[in-house]
Amino acid sequence: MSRLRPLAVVGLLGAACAIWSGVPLGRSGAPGLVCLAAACVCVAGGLLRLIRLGAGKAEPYYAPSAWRRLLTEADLGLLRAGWESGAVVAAAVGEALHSSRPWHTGILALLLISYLLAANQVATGQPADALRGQSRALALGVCAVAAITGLAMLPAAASAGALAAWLEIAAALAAVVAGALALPL
Amino acid sequence: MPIDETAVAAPVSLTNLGGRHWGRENDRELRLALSWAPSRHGRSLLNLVLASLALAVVTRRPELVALAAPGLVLLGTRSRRRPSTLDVQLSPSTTRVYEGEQVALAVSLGGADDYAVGLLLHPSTGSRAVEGYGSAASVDAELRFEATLWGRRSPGTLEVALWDSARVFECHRSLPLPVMVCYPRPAPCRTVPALGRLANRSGDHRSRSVGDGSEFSGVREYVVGDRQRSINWPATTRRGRLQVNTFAAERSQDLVLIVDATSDMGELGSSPVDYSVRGAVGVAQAYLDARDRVGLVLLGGQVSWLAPGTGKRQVQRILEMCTAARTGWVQSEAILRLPRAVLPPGAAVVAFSPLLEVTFLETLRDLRQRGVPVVVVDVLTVDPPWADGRIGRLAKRLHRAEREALLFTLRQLGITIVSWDGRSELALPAGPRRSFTGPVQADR
Repeated sequence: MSRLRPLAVVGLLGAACAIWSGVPLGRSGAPGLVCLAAACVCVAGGLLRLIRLGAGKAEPYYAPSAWRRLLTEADLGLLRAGWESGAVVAAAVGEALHSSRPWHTGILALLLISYLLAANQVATGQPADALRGQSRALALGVCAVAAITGLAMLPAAASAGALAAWLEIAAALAAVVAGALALPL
Repeated sequence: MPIDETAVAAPVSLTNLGGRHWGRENDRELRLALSWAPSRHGRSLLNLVLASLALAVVTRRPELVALAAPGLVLLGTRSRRRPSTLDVQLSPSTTRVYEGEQVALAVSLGGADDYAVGLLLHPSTGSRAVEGYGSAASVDAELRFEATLWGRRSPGTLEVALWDSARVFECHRSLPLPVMVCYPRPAPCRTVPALGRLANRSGDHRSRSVGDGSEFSGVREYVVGDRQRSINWPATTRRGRLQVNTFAAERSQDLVLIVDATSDMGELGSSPVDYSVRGAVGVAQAYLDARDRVGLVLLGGQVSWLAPGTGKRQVQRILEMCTAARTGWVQSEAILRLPRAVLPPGAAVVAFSPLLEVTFLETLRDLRQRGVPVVVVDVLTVDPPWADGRIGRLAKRLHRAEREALLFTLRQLGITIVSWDGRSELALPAGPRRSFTGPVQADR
């Protein structure tokens, strides 16, 4: 039960990311559907990998047959695949296919970072309180998400020209990097 | 704290600190050069950051930078003083074990404060991890492995992994474990048959001649000089004259063990050579316990031998010689004639062989023609792989017929043949004077 609970958390967070970035489906059309499907596949694959890691390492076969070797190779391929990366990138692309909706994007950012942290915790077997050491960095990240989302929701910014949009992106990026460098860790 | 096994270990960069000993002979200290790289979690964060920034730039939508913000902060606030080296001290509980024994490997790490450490043992052929995972943080961790196959080799590699507190950056290094000597497990052997005629040296085997042993031999009439305590009073009363007990002399014998490593087949660990070595060590221990002199001849491309000797040091010499037997043997072409230093007069021979090589059979014939009593322990427990079909069945029948003829020939030469499966107790033919038969005439 203690192993299933974090796995369930990872699965639910991954599903939430995929669905949140995909809805509403009608807005983004076929590319959105493809991204949603990719995100779902990646989340499922990641869960499978985590379950394999949780089950432990299988005893090596002394003289594997061709079929056993194939299974072993497939197993290793499953473990090596970057499922989490695929899931978050697919979710980001799915979000970009929709029209501008800053608050929606902000919540997705929080969901994605939660998903990655939870998946990492399950994969490494860390206890839940291991995140305490990163609490200040995470707080800064949440603040940055809120600030960027609020900035993007300003009416003046939404109606500005192309140059203003570029400047906004650069300013947001600079603020995040400056905050990260200033944090005494 | 399992190590992420999907990570590929980086090339090894080791600096041995001059082989310093830290109080214990088996200890070994190494300094590993560390190179840090993003972990799987770090790569996921990096991918998210790069994808979000690229999407923000392409679509000119600043709110997409929010997707990158938390990951960017986590990657940017990583620890700035990561160690570049790590001191590893390996302390195996022993470097010399018998097959089936476990070794505890204490690992002590220095210079890894505030970092999570994972240890993973990758056993090599001939070893099995019992406790292959471990974790440590500047303290000792203990792993355990079992030596499963005799020989002189490294039991495997130790993978050391370090992670920073956020697990964003990691470092993997593999280091080879120190070479260990695994002695073959002695086969259980309780019977120690002796020759009919023994050399005039004190030992544990009952001789036909009268001497100072402890086993009763007979009664004779008292002569001046006999000890009073040896008088047999009941016999004296019956015969009316003083009678004394006589005892059998206890003598030792010379035994030469021959291990035929000129051919081998079967699985590693249960091949004829494995059985031969284990059997030879078991027989050597049994005879040396009986205060006999035991020598050893290893037949391979390089013929090596050990002159007969006694005592525990001889057991150690035999073990060391057997342990080195596996490395680099090739087929021997010539008929071997054992030198006199190896085969002293009056010595008996116990040979362990799968009886597959003709050259070894000629060696046995030569021994018998020189009058040496020989017992052969047949250690061939597997059949060669046969092809399916009629040809395969025919080859199998021919092989068995040839083998029957071979065993018949050896018996005709006066050689006692014992089959041994390599697992059960090795039972040399019991009873003195029955195992080792006398000389035979050469075939004309």
